[in-house]
This record gives sequence, structure tokens and C-alpha cells, in this order.
Amino acid sequence: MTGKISRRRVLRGTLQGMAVAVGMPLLDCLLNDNGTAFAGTGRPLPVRFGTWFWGLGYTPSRWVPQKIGADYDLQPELRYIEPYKHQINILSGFDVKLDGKPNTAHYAGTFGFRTGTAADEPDRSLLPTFDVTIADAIGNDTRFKSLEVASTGNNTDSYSRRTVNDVNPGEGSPVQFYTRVFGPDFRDPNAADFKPDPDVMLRLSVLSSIKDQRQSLVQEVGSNDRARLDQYFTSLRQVEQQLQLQLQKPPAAEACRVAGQPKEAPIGYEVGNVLANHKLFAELMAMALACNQTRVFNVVYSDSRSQLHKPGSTAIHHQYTHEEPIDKDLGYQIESAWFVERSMEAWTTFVGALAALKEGDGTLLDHTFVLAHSDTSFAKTHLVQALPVMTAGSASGRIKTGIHIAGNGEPVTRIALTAQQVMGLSVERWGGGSMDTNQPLTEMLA
Amino acid sequence: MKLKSIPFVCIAGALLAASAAVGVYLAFLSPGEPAARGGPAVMRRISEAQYRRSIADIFGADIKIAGRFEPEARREGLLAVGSSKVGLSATGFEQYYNLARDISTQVVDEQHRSLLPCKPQALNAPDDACTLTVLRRFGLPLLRRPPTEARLAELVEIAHKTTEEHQDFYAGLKMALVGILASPDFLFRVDLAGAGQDRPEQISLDDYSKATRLSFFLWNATPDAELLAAAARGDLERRSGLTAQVDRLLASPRLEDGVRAFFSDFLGFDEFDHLEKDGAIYPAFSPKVAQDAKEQTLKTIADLLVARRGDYRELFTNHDTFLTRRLGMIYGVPVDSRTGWDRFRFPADDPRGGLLEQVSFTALHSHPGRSSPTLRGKAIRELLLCQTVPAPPNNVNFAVVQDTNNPNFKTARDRLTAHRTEPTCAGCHRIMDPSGLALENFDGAGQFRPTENGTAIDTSGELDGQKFADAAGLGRALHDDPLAAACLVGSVYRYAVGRLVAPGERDWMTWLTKSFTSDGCRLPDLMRRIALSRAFYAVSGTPRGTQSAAVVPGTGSEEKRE
Amino acid sequence: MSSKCQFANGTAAVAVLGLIGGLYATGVDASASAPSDAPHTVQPKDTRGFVVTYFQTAHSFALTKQSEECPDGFTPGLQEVVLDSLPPGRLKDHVAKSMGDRISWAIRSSDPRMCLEPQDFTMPVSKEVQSTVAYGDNLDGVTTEDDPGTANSCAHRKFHGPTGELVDNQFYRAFGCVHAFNGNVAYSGNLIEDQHHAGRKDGEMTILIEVTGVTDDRNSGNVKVGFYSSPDATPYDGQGKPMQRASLSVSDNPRYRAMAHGRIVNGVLTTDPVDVHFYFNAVAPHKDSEEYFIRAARLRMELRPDGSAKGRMAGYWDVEKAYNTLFAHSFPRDLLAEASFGYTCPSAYAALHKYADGFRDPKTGECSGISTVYDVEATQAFVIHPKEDTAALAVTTTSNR
Repeated sequence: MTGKISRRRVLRGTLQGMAVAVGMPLLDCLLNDNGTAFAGTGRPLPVRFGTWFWGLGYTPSRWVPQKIGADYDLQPELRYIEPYKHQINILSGFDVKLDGKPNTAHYAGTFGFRTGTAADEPDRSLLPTFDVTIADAIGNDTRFKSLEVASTGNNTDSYSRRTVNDVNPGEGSPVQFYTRVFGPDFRDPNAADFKPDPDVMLRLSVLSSIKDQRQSLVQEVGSNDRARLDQYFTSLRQVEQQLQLQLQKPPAAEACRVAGQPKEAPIGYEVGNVLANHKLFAELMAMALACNQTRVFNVVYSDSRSQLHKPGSTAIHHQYTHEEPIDKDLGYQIESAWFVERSMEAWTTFVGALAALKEGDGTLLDHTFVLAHSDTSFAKTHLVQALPVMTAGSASGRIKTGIHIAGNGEPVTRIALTAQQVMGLSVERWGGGSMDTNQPLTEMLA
Repeated sequence: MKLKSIPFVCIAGALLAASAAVGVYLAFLSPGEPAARGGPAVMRRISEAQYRRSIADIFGADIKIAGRFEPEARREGLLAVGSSKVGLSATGFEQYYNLARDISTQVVDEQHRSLLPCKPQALNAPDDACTLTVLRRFGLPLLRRPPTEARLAELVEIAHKTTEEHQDFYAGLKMALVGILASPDFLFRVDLAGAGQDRPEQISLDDYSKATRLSFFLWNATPDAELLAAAARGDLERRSGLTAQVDRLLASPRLEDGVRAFFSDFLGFDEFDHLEKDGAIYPAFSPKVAQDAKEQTLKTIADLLVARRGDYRELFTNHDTFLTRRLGMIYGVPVDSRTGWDRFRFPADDPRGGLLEQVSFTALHSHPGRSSPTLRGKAIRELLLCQTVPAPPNNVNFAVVQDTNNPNFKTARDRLTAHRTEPTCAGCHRIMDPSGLALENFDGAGQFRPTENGTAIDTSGELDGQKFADAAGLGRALHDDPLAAACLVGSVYRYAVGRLVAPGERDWMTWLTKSFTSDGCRLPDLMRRIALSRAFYAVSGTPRGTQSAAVVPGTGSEEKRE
Repeated sequence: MSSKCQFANGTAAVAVLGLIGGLYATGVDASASAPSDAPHTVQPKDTRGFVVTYFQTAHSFALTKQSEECPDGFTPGLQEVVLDSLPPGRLKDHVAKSMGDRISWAIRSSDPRMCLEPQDFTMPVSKEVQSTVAYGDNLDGVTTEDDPGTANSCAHRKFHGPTGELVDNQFYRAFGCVHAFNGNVAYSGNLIEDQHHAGRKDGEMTILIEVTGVTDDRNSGNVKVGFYSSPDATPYDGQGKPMQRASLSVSDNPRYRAMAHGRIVNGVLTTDPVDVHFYFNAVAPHKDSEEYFIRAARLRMELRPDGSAKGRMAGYWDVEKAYNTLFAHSFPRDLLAEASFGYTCPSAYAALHKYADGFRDPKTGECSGISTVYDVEATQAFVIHPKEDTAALAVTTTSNR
């Protein structure tokens, strides 16, 4: 080691017993976010943010409320949200603007919404989805910067990504998710005793020795690979952060009560199993939020192409949307509508899981902001106009709830911009091409 | 980068050196082999299979690896190419870090300690010399090159401190091993260029990068001790030394592992992880059947292409394969072996012959509850012929496509009539559907059916001008299609180098494909030719440190299933 | 083992046993010999294989009104016997109150050896079926309802089949009035059958039938029919429906292989009589497993185009084996069956011997087989024979499958 202060030397003096403020530069990151450094008791409850995704949109005549504003009517496919209607906003009529770029089926809508820019084909975009941007800002003082789950069991069903090549995989198994979050590495924030593990310091020094490789490696690779190496080290820092948090007593979390390991349904795309596992994920994610394991989450109920299927059907949901004739009397596709209704049922389950946990003067849902969306409005023709979007929770009073806002063809980026601002990011404008906007949804802001 | 004026003497000297170098360079080429400048250096994340193989090879097969792996990405048709694009998410690093801890714990536990190259002088005190010995011993194969002294010293220090803290030598050793197992140069294979090569046309991988690329290509495994030793001696710089190692690797039974890994990628077998069939419609199909189907095809390929050194094109026409009883239920044939594999031969006139009629193709490219001529036709085009089928247009009127129970449309061919007659659909569907329709005797689980909804199935069609009456005819058409062989050659090369073919390699690729077909389409010969070529080890672009990634935009789109 | 079966009245059926022609290996493990490396291929065109998916004593009770069938009531089971034996009083009243109490009292107060050594106990006699219609075959060829017996059969009364012909079904006569054999009864009706069928689904008994020499699926005058036990489980899907196209191995043990001549006429297969042993992997006293031993068995089965088959098998069920598979239990707690199914082991044992009507021992004049008819359902399967077939040797043990 040349002249620079080796971290190992600093650690040497503090290994016996507690090791708190060791003067390592790394600790800066614990203190530099939005003033949510560890303050023990009395700190305000954190606002959480998350996305919820379902594939293949809705049936046009059966979802969009007719009344705009408060007290909106519930059309047949939305009737399930009735118990939580006053905490849910419907944002209809906002478009993904493609600016002539190809409407890549089940992709353009999803990533147009999440990155604010229409993608080329093939997509080589290096833009992050906005949930990652939010997590980068507010996710630095929790064990996990963000948590992703895929109710389909397929860990590539995830729409949270830093670049097109760096996707945050979704955990597909509720049992594995439970083990990851509440297993051996979980520190109960309400545990009476706290003793930092001296091993943590040693493990941190191992990670920092790995970081020492960065210099020599970066010199030897091309620019593309340099970016990938940087991303590797960013990910390494996440684990460092997790370890560093273990050195501090976690702030108490009154709503945190961990249940036993769940019993999961068979993993896969059969709709009954997806619904069952999604319910488990909803409960586990709510608990993870209540226990401050993360502030940012991304839930996928069905993938953007919805490979969900019913036992005994020769067709999957996706095929129904394209091949099922519109019923002469009812005026819509019956089987496709059935799948939409299951999606809305699942959404209600998710919102309900957050509403079920009492926290502070209200519920976890009150302190959360969930943004739900799909990849398309009318799946049969892959429409990305009028993308269906909903919010749930009032973000600790930062937004109004229980209203229907009609976008009238405005770009969907106004929604993501609003979300980022609500979560405290100082971002003025967002989106590219004709989706560039600097106008949040003021009707939703409190 | 500005051009400086170059003194005459230097130019002359440089020319002399250049011609000498060219002489050496040319000595590597086979007769008629065009020069190739190679492509950009790549950095490739190791796959789950490669990770497991490395740990098993280095620490022993009984080390349990119970972990979650970051998903891979398919780019330009191959996971191998995707490996040079993906980074590592936070979740992914967390998982690898936990795996590293888990593996290290096992490596130093009482059962495995005896396999370490030294014992500490005391169990409860540091022994830096022994730690160093162990780290050198494992660091070399894990990192695929000798770790630097500075790095080793750092790790020894960590082990030392940990041992003092815990009064346990092995706790310290474990900590140091984690330092290697979680490091980027274990998790990624980083191409490093050889030292002392300043001319663009001469740059090639350094010895250890050569060894790594070669070993992963032929065996899908990290270089073994002998190959690493050959790299250390500089053997791979010399034609004779390289040939000796290449032939050693080719002669080994582990060649089959490499061939299997290639075909698993090439044929898209990672989709098996998410393959589901409706249990009510196909009660005989289960996840175990899916695994057997994958294994059946890989065994068939290993037998035909490796053991018998057969012609690749015969995969589409040959009637010999391997079956288990579970597969027997799908194919409807008797299988003797109660728990294992039978060699099986379908009669010459049996429609169940080549690769296209195997369950790993028909069931994989189908829906959970029915077959799909379009998915199969698309797979034939994209996987086997390396052609791209454009994505469907979005504003299509799908009203003309009816459901399976419409009394007028009994077979898939009937239902897809609109595909062939509607102008917006026909362009692409004429490319895909005919070959897929030839396979309609095989339902969504790969089971043979002579009729659909009581109507006989018409399996006639055409592939790029070759007409056929049935699936066997389709197999022959594919056998005769020059694109099939070219697609294999291109795919093998892209798989081997982890990127697209670079512009400077185009002539060389043409030569490679010609040699392959004129010599009987033998896969081991192709692999040998690649492994011995200069092209395989060449790195293009500016000298080390300022290389730009000059990747040719691909013709293929990201792998998507419609 | 070899023996020939003789039939009276000129029925010149020849029983062909599994050892004929030395076709099969003995208990020697077939895989011990070097397997041929030649690839396997599709089934020969003249072969049709089946796996039995249902095999149970036929439901003759369905043919008659219960009042005619068992006018004197049902055979007393253990719980009735024990209850009757109690003197009147508080205990009897208490036990009489609930089924559960009757059953547990019956079990607790009975000698656990009762089923293992039934001949040592005396219990009330079985009630006999009084009606006159039943399924079956005319096994001994006698053409009068009052059958005086022959050199090979013992005196008994015949039934009339549904279409009027005379048939032998002494098993039905003996057990048709036992609750657990009679489907007309609400409590524990058909339970014996349900248990055996469940057992088959668990892989306890697998029977294969293979027809070779088929020239035409509807009419083939001269076929050979093999009956085999298999160590492989009968294949059922997740919904409990039989699955086709399974490959199932024939038992290595020649005891569990039999071969008969037959013919297919208008889609119906019939076979000449042959002795068959079917391996049955149930817990039985003294042995690890038991078997069905049906002498002079003959099959009549409709072969359908969809690969399934349905019919009946008739023959003389060896009474000792029948007792072991149906009634004998190794463990005291298994008196539960006796207590709740409506029989007692001693009376069942006695009934089997009393009503036995076939395979008369010339020395003692006693019959050791009881005429029985089974419902058989089957579906297509591939019958896989052991690799090396060597000359047969006599096999005397039944411990190998």
C-alpha cells in the first residue's frame, strides 16, 4: 500500500467492541441524503415509493371512470378497488408519445412510461427507469436500495433498470424473498439489545480491498466496459452500505412485526398460482417497508406480454387479447376481460396489504406512494395512448387521493415527473422528445 | 489523438520490425486463410453454469452452491454475446457476495481442510506463510492468472486481522477467499492484450486471456492447471505450443461439455426454465419431461457431432436419438430402460426424425395449451438460419383471426390463412408459417397427432425455394440450405468471442464457412480451426488503454417471443 | 412349476404357462447379462399392449334388489358380534350408542390373533346371497343350476348371468352380503374395492396384458395373450385418469407371467383358461407381499379404437391367497377393518373354504379355488420384456417380483 491511508490501518484501532464512527470516507454516504440520517427516536416516518405493474391494460369501455375529479364512478373492471377508492387516484388519458419510433409491442409503452423517452429498435438506451432515479436519491439509508419481485416467478419479468443491460432482477419465489429480507441477515429494528458484530468491519475491509482493483482494471478495458465496471462497483457499494448499517442500531419501527416463513404456491404463469404468490409478495413487501428494509419497491403482477393462463385453456392471456372475437352482445372480449379483472383484484390485494399495517397516526399506505401502470391501454392493438395509470397512498399527505384526472392526450412523463417531485427529488423537467415536460400534475399535489 | 511527425530512422526500423512481425503473424495462418484484425476486447460475466463449473473444478464437486444467480441476457441471438453487455445489479452483487461467503465457509471447514496445500502452525493464530500459499494456489485458477503480489499481501493482511479477532486461522483464510470470489476479475473474464504490442494489426490477447478464451470455448470451463502452466511458459505464443493445447482439449471428454454449452445457448434452451404446459391438456408433460427433452437433444448432438464426428446438417434428418420412459410417453414409443436412457432409432419412414421433431423444439416453441406454427417458424428462421423476422405491426386488425373452436377453422393452417392473405401480415408470415406448419403433426407438448379437430393435417410447404411434403422434407430442406451451415459457423464464432463479427473479420468468416462446408460440416474441425486461428486471439483497435468499442450494429434484434 | 389344467365335457382348453418354450428368465436379474447396444425402435405392428387400470371383483350387487339379495340381513361384522356378546346393562348401552364406541370396543376386546390364525376361532357364519343373478362364466361346464360337481369341481348352486346363461360365482354368494363388498350399502359399501383401487394408484399392483399376432384390430383368429405383473406403477395423471403410452416392464420372475391362446372377434378379445399369478404388494401375515392366484382364468375384453379396453376376467381364486389379500392383517390395530367393514376373519375364512367350488383335490375331495369374476379396465401401454430370455428353471419361491 503506497502512502494513502489504508482502511485496514484505521480499522486496526477500533476492532475490539463497538466500532461506530471510524472516520472512513464511506460514511459520508450515510449522511448526505435528504436529511434522513439516523437520528434514533423522533425522526419522521419515511415516505416510501413503489411501482406496481400489470400486463395488457384494460377493456376500453369497462375501466375509465366517466366522472372527472373527486368521487369518480367505478366501471366494472375497477369495481374491485372500492374499499380503497378514497386512497386511489385514476390517471387516464395520458399518452406515451413515440415520435415516430417503433411501437415495439409490450415494450414501448412500458419503457416509454418508465424512462420518459421512446426507444429505438433495438433498444440500446442507457436511460434509467425513474424508480431507479428515486431509489438513488432516497434509498441510501436502508438495507436495500430497492426491492423487486415478480409474481410470475420469472426473474427477468422486471421493468426496473439502470440501463438496458443492467436490469434489477425480480425475486420470483416468496420463500426466497422472505429468506433474503427476513432471513439470517435481518436485524429486527425493534430488538431490545443491539451489539454490532465486529465481523462487519472485517467484511467491510474485504470489500474495500476488492474496490482497490478498480484502478488497474479500469485502465485495461474499453469505455463501454468501464461503465459496466463502474456499475459493478456501485452494486458493491450497496452491500457495503448494508454492512455499514449493521454497525448502527436501526431506528425502531413500530409497525414492524415479522411473520413466519410463507408457504408459496407453485411458481409459474398459471393465474391461480400468480395470484396466490402475489398475495404473499404483497404481505412480505408491506412488512419489508414497515421494517424499513427499503423505501423503494417494484412489484410485477403479470409480465408485459402476460403469459398468464387458466388451466384447461388452449390460449394464454396474450393470445386472447389478439385472437378472441369481441362478443356481439356484450361488446368486449370476455376472456381478456376476465384477466383484466384478476389484475385489478390483485392490485386491490396489494393496496390492502399496505393499508392493513398501522403505522404512526395512520397506516403504511398513508406513508407510501405507489404508482401502478400497464404496458398498453387496449392490448388487442398494442395502443400506448391513454396508458392506464393509478396511484395509491397519500405519500404522508403530500398528494391528494380519491380523484380521477383525465390526461386528454398529455404525455405520461407528467406523471413520473410528479412522482419524482413528490419523493423530494429536485427535478424540474423530465422526458425526451415530445414527452419532455416541466409540468407536474398540480391537481394531485396537496 | 494527434499524429506526430515520425523520423525516417524510426520508420525504417519500424518497417523492419513490422515485416518480422508480419512474418510471425503469417506463420499462424492456415493455407488460404485470410488475415483478420479481430474485434474489440470484451469483458464477459461468467454464467451460472460457468460459475458452478469453476467452483467444482477448483474446490471440488461436493461444494454446495445453493444460491440465486443474476439472469443472463440474450443479445444478437446468444447469451454468450449478452455476457459482454451485462453489468451486475445490486441484487446480483449481493447474491454473489453471499455465495462467496457460503463457498469459502465450506472450503475451510473441517471436511475440506485436508485438501488445502498447507496446515497452519497453530489453529488459533495467524500463519501468513500458509495463508499466502493457499491464496496463490487458488488465486491462479480463480482469477485465471497469477494474482499480483500487492493483492496477495492485502488479502493476507485481512486474513491476519481476522484470525487475531477470532483466534481462528481458518476464519481469516475464509475472509481472504471471499475477497477473491467476490472480485470483478473472478466474476468477469476480462480480455487483456499482450504486452509489447503497439501496432493495431498485431495486438492479441495476452497468454492468460488466450488460455481463458480457449478453455471456455472448448470446455465451457476455467483453464485447468496444465493450460495455465502452458500460458505461463509462453507456449500459446507459438504455433506448436498452441496446437498441443488445442488438441489436448479437443481430445478430452470435456469437449462434450463445451459442445453442450454451445448448443444450449444456440437453441435457446434457457427458455426451458420457464416452460409451462397446461396439465389438463397435456397430462403427460411435466417439468421432468422438459428436462429429459433438453437432455435428449444434447445427447443426440453430442453423439452425432462429437462422438461420431458427423455432419452437422444431419441433425435435421437423422433418426437416431436417446429416450427415457417419460419421453416415450410423449413420443408414443416403447422404452426399455426403466430409469435411464435407451438408444433409439425411428424407422426410416417415421415422421419423428430430426431435431425439428424433437420435443425440445416442438414443445419449447409452443404455447402452454397448443402448438404454434408461427413460433416454430420464427425459431427456424432466427435460431437455425440466423435470419431476423421483424416484429409484428401494431395497428393490425386481428378480427380476422378466429379462435380454435370456430367450426370453419379446424386446423392451424386454416386459422392462419389470414396471416398469408392479409397484406400487412403476409410479408413476415410467409417467411415463418410454412416451415412451422410442416410441424403441425406435433402438438404443444410434442406429441404426434395425425389429425386436428378431426381433420387431416396438411404439412406441405416451402423453405426458400425448396418444396417439401412433410416434416421429414422440411428437415431435408434445412439440411440442404447453405444458410443453415453459415448460421452455425457464425454462431459458433460469436459464441466463442462473445461479440458480433467485426468488419475486419468478414473475409475470414467467409473462408471459415467455406472450409466448414467443404470439409463435411464437422463441428470439432470447425472448433479446431477457430481455436488455432490468429483471428480468435486478435484484438482490434488502438493500443491498450484507449480502445474504443467498435462494435458493428447487429442485424438481429433482442430476443423476444411474440 | 408346471401343471396342466383339465376340464370336463371336452373343453379342450390347454393351459399354457409362462414357462412354455423356455422363453423367460428365472429369478436371475436380466440386467446382469451384457445389454445389446443396438438401438431400440418402435413396437412391432402385430402387438397390442395394455396396462390394467381397474381390477376388482365384479359388482353383481348391481343386478339385484337388496331385499332379494340379502333377505336375512348382512353378515355380522366384528362390532355386531362383540356388541351381541355383551350382557345387557350399562356397558352394553354405552357401547351401543355410537359407531365409534362400537368399533373401538370391538377392537380392544378381541384377540389380535384372530385374523392371523382364523382357523382357531369360531364366529357366526356368513350370510349367503339368496338372489339368483350374477356376473360370471360357466367354469366347470355343468349345465344345471344345481351343480353336483365334477372331477374338478365341488357341488354348488350356479347363478344366472344377466342374459340368462348359467354362471359360477361362489365368491359373490359368500361375500355379497358383507357390507364392504356391497355397493348398495351406505356405510362402508365397496370399501374393500376402494382400498385396492387406491393401492393400485399407489403402485401396489400393476397388471400388463399383451396381445401378439394381431393381424386385424377387429378380427384376428389366432393371437397369444400374455398376462404379466410389473414392478412399475400403473400410470395415472394428476386427475386420477389413466395415461397411455407408458412403458412398463414385465416382472423378472416367471411366476408372474402367463400365456394363453385367444382370438379377437368383432373387437372383443377372449382367451382360453390359464393359471395366473398377480403380484400384490400389500402387507400380509408371514410374508413381505402377497399375490392373486387365479386358476383357469379367462378374459373377455372389448378393445376400443381409442386404445382403452373393458371387460371381465373369470376364474377360480385360490382361497388361501384370497384370504391373505382380502382379510389377513399383521397388526392388531388392523382389526379396524374387521370392526368396521362388516365381517370377521374367522367367518370369512370359513366362508372361503365352504363355498370353494374349483380345483378339487382328488384325495380329500376339497376344493381350493372359489369361482370369482373381476371387472377389468385397461388402457394402451408398451409391455417391455426383460432383455435376455434364457431357458426356464422351476421357481419355488414367491419372494422375487
